[in-house]
Amino acid sequence: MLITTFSSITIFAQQPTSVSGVVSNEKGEPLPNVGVKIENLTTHKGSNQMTDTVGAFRITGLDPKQSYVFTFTSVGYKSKRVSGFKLKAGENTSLLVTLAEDPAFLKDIVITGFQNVDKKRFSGSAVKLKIEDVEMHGQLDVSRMLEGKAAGVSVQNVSGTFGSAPKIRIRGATSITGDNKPLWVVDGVVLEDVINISNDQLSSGDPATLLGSSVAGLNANDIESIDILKDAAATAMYGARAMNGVIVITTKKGRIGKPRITYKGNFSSQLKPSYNSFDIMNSADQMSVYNEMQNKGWLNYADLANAADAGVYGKMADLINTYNATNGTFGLENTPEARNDFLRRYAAANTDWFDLLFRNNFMQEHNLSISSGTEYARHFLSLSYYNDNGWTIADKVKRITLNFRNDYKLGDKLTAGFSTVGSYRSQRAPGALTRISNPVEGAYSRDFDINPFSYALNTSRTLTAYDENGDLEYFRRNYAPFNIIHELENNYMKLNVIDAKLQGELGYQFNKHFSYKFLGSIRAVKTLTESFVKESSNMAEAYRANPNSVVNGANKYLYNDPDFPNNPAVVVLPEGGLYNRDQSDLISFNIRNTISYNQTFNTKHYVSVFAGQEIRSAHREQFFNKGYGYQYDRGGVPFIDYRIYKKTLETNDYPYGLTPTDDRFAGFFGTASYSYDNKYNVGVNGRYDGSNKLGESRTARWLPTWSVDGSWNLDQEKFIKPLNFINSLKLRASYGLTASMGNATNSAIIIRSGTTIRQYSVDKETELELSSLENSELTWEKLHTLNLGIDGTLFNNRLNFAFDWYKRKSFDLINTVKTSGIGGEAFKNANFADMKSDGVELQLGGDPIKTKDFKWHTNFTFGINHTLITRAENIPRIIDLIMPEGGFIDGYPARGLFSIDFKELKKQVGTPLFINEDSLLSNNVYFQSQTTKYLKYNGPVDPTFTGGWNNSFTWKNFTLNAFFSFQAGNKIRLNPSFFSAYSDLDAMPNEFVDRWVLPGDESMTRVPVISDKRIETLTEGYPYNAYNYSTERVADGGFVRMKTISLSYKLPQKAAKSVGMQGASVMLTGYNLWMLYSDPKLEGQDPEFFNAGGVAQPIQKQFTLTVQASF
Amino acid sequence: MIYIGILATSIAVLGCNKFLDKLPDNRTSLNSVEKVSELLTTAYPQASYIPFLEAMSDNADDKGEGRVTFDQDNSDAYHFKDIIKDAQDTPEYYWMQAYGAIAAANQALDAISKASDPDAYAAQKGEALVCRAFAHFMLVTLFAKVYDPATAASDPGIPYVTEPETVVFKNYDRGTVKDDYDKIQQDLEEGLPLLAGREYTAPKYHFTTQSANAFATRFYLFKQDYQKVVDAANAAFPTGNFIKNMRPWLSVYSNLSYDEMKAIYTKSSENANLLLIQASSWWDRNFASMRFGMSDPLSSKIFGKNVTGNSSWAIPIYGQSDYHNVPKWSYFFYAPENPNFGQDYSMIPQFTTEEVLLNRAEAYARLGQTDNAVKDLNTYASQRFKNYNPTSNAVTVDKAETYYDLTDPKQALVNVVLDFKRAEFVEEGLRWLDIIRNGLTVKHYIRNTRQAVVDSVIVEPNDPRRVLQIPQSAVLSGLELNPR
Repeated sequence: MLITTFSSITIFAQQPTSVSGVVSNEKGEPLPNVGVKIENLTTHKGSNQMTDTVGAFRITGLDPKQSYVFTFTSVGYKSKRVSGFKLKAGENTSLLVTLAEDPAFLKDIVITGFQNVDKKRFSGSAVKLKIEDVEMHGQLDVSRMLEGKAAGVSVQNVSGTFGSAPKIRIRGATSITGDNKPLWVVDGVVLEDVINISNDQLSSGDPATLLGSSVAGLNANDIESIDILKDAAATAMYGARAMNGVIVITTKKGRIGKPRITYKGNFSSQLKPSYNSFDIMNSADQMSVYNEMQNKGWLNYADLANAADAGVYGKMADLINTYNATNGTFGLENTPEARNDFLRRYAAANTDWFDLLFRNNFMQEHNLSISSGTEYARHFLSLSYYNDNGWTIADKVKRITLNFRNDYKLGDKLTAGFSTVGSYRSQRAPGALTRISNPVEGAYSRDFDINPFSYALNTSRTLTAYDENGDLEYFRRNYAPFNIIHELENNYMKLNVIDAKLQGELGYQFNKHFSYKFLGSIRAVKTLTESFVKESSNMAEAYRANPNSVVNGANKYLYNDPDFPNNPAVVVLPEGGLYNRDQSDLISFNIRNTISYNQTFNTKHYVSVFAGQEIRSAHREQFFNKGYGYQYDRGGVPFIDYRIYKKTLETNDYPYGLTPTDDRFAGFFGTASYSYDNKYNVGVNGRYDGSNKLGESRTARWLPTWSVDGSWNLDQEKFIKPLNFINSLKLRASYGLTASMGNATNSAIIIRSGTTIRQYSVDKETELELSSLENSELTWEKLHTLNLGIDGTLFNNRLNFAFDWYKRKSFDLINTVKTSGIGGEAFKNANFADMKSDGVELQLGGDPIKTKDFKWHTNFTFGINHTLITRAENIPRIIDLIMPEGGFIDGYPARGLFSIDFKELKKQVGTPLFINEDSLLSNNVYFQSQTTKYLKYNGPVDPTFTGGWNNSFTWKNFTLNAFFSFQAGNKIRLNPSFFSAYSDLDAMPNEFVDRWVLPGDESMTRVPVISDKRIETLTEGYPYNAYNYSTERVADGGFVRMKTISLSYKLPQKAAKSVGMQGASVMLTGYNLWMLYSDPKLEGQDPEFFNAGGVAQPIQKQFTLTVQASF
Repeated sequence: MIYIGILATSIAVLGCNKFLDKLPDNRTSLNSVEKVSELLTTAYPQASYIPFLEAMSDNADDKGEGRVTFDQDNSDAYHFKDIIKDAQDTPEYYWMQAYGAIAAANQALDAISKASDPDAYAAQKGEALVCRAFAHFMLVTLFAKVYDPATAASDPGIPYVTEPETVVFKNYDRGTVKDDYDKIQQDLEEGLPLLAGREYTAPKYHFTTQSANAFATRFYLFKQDYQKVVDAANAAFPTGNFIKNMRPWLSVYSNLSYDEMKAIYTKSSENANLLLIQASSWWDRNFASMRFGMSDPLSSKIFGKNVTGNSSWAIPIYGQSDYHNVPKWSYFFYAPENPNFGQDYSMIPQFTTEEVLLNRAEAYARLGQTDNAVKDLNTYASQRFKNYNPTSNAVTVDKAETYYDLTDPKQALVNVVLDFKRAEFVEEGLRWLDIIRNGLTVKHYIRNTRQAVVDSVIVEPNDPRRVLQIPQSAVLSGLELNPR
């Protein structure tokens, strides 16, 4: 694999005879600090050189008559001898040298985003992932690729929809109310989120989550490597933003050599879900349940006629009530025969909603990159296009990315680099509103939810999408006609994201030891989410549903004008639909100046000092506009009844709004390290950060953070060196302080504007409200981390490992505390909570078998993390602890799942009985009670044990790869499927077959009865919601998933060359094909996925064909 | 190059604080008269005391077990047990909101004291002081013993807060009831004259000279400074035209539908409403169906036989026997985005013409100005009794003495005032204030499903349960709880 290129350039005749050149690695990246030595003539002056920052060297004063042998040596690379080149008197001979990586030095350089540090001298805890090791072809979001790849990094795909972010934790949670998200850094610059999606919002399915992933616009093909920084020493340069770890992405640069064009295409399809994987009643069983419901007083014709939601029985009731005066007949005769006849069609329907709403989609991704370069200028251009025609009939995604990077050497000492990165995304999603939490009933609700996945799971299979004539068949929802296929066509969102970044770097090398670097970047992101709710959509029609006085009184989309208390409610959207716009924009910039100094004294003492200053700014604007009465089929001219604005203004539901926010940071930082004889390394790091987030106070806004670290390269010791099976061995230790900005910004008083909540418009005033009192004691959330680790490679690099143990103490965490209220604020966000956590991480890997034709490469990672809240002193309500997202309380993990203690089914009745807040056996649990001691603790919501195991087997040109990911230790809440009342639209899981039916069943089953209408109205509280949050509805969150399996074939070099290519390969990959283990109680529910409706989708089974060729 | 770097760095260092002075969001600062005015919009206790005060008062009776809605808070208040919840309609919520109002007033006063032109803020200062006085007055009235000149200097009061709080937990001192009264009076007397120049877009939601004087009548009545009650009432209505400013139950209201009556009662366009405060409350929705509320016998007692003789009350009672209600509360459901769940709001009349008139009547009576008292009582009666005939139905000292079987004209007239107020403010919670001020004993019966009395709770004037318990969390600020 050693390739040496010779070429000679004549420059000036009178020049001294010399050799100059550039040393680069196999990827064409120039290598600095490579030792250049003339091996055979030790006497030559100036022969011992190091390459400069762009890998260049120059040796002058050579004798043209001699034949020289040069050696090039660098840490992490196999050293190389170059000889046999011809020298010409008075001329320069140019050499291009490529060094091959020495596998003995696994992951040789740690890129912190500020510095590139030789791993030998690095004492922090960091993992380097090369893109080849993590890339999942045909998957777009880089953040999802980290699952199971790095020990201690947990990735939970709470939703798989493109653009939404997985829940990523590096070493678990550090904060209670904070976001716990790692910081993403691309080429040294922090990637700011366009909008901040909080912890619990991630799994909400809200439209905003489509903007949750900060890396959705990043093309994985442009990535060279990912460094995950975990402990205080590794993240030191991020100081007050580093508490949750840092993920540093380094993108590709141009390679020296002739232009190389690479094409890569991914062609994928995701499989339609099927009822086989879920446990839903077929239409015949469902119809018999409806029959039982009718016997219990539900689904009676009088109620159905004016019900908000109605299915088959509703339709039957309507027909029975329809009298045709001309021929004297009813739409349906009210006889048992006629009714059975009518129902028979639907009982046999067995509608396959998955089949109707989903498809085996076709996703194509094309990447084209061109890389070229000389000693003085290198270019990398990459373009990609992605198109997904949609797994559901409501989804579509397109994405285009551009990355253009230029690196220049502008002289002996000056270097410069510029890059332009841009992406455009266009996405279509089903119409969705933000969900609303109802703490009284203990449930979330989302109006007009048409999420295809939850629709298919929750909608009765007795309903039919098409009638006997093949036309769309409508049933009733929100008092208006509804057909899901029609609705998805007429109620949808379009999302557009434009993201552009310009970055410039300037470096100046004063001398061998001392250099200066400038980095500046500016990024602008514009996002637009448009909701199209067309006039014929169910959502628009619901505003117009006003058939009679019963519906008039019940339809909440009608308007009761307070100025006319005697009048019935009126329709305020008589024509047209809705057109809503949400814009979220970001402009951020970052400027950094750094100096670095490295020198080795007496060959044994290596000193390195690095210092600098930076400022960061992120200006965000969020704008929304609600447009009523937009007439899609009338050229877009709005038809507005002024009363819809009157209605909204009376409840301060503003038709538009603009919220600008500014996030500014300034920091000064420095690090100094010392190594003795490559054996002992010590370092100190410090950073002084200021932020505008803490408000006007000029003292609270500044925070110093620090860390100390040390490591011992055991392999360099005399007593280890004779042990030949040890290739490298290092012990590491670090301790330090990092921080994060909590959810409080009131170091000075916060006053916000609003409008008074008064009944009549005439009394409305603008008001200023004390949003938060001054908290002169406010400070950042902080974290002390102690990390001990050991790394090594053994048995001639057949095995490598890294083991870390850490202990962390979070303090000054922001929590809501209840005060006496005398100061005017009953609940304050203050630095009032502490938490501790500890864990271990292990990474094991290597090539256990390696022969000429066959290679087995394996990599195993796992991490254990436990968090414990040591002080919160909060008083949660029951509802705060039982939600699927978990709650927090002293003495439990950062997020724990608690359940209402289900005891038994009530005799004679079959309704569930619980131990309630008064310690009594009851149907009624008061969700807002602050007595939570009778709840049962199930376990943490976040997995305590995560990891992955990757194996690849290469035989000749074939590679088979299998990757498993796993997690364990957490508990999850089963999807809520029990309700006090059902309509004939609802589908039920098969577990309902085992439900309580007759007295006495309570000894056999724990599935409650379908409530009797008479009993339901008399029952206090919400027993079925309580049942959904009970100990019965908890499953183990652990799973083992075959995440990917792939087979690839690489065209042999010779064959490729013969057709004019440098290389070519094909690969077939399957994703998420098997769940090897998950709790059987889940009955098909994905343990990672939160089925929240809205825009949430589970991750899918997918096949991808990858074709790659380079020229 | 290095010099440029160093220069750039040092400029950055110097510029950093300025760079970081940028406010993180759209928060605002109190730097203009307008903004201070807008802040004072929130200097009113936006909470309802009605649900618990009404249930504690003798305007509540047990309608019987299992007949109508049982509500724990309603029951606790009726049984004189401490309400443990802190949601809207609880004493703790009122405490928190009242202190929130005080904080807004203090913040405004702080901004005014720091302004370069404090004179421009005179009217705002007036409103802030009166607001501060009012919120403290309500707190001391509910959470401390009623003012008694003999013991006020030793009875624990409530913390009188005069500056913004800047730490998470601050220690406060309860002081004494007398301290509180002195400070209330000081703030009121300093603030009231400054209100003369105050102009509002929604004047009924702010202290004006008129509504501040209305507050003064209530305050001085509690302070037993009766001449000042008369003076304040006269200042509130300089022309003395009360009738024009009273609720027209006999004329306009009598022609309205039930829904219209509900709507009009709390409207700012009603002259009778002198000060309205909006508050989150479920009262408007559930007051008629509460188990402990206005029962059938109680409504006959309040609105039946009266001192005027044969004329009857014009205030109508709606609803069937277990659901008696006076249509005062319209339904305002505040629910942005999604009308399924939201909050009910009530616009609560804090001071009305009727209260000022009846406060003056009581003050006259207590001052021995019997004629004036009788005159005021007849002014009131003429607007509240159907077929009121000035000759046959007029309230007189004799009639009052006979009606209450008393020989003390002063007490007889005071009793007339109290009964008129009891009816006038039924289901508005204000009866409780008269009960504590006049040391009336409250006797609550507990009835079974057949409405037979099975138990009773009697609360004498000195019963510690008449003083609402302060929130448990106040212990964090070093406060002692009320004795139980």
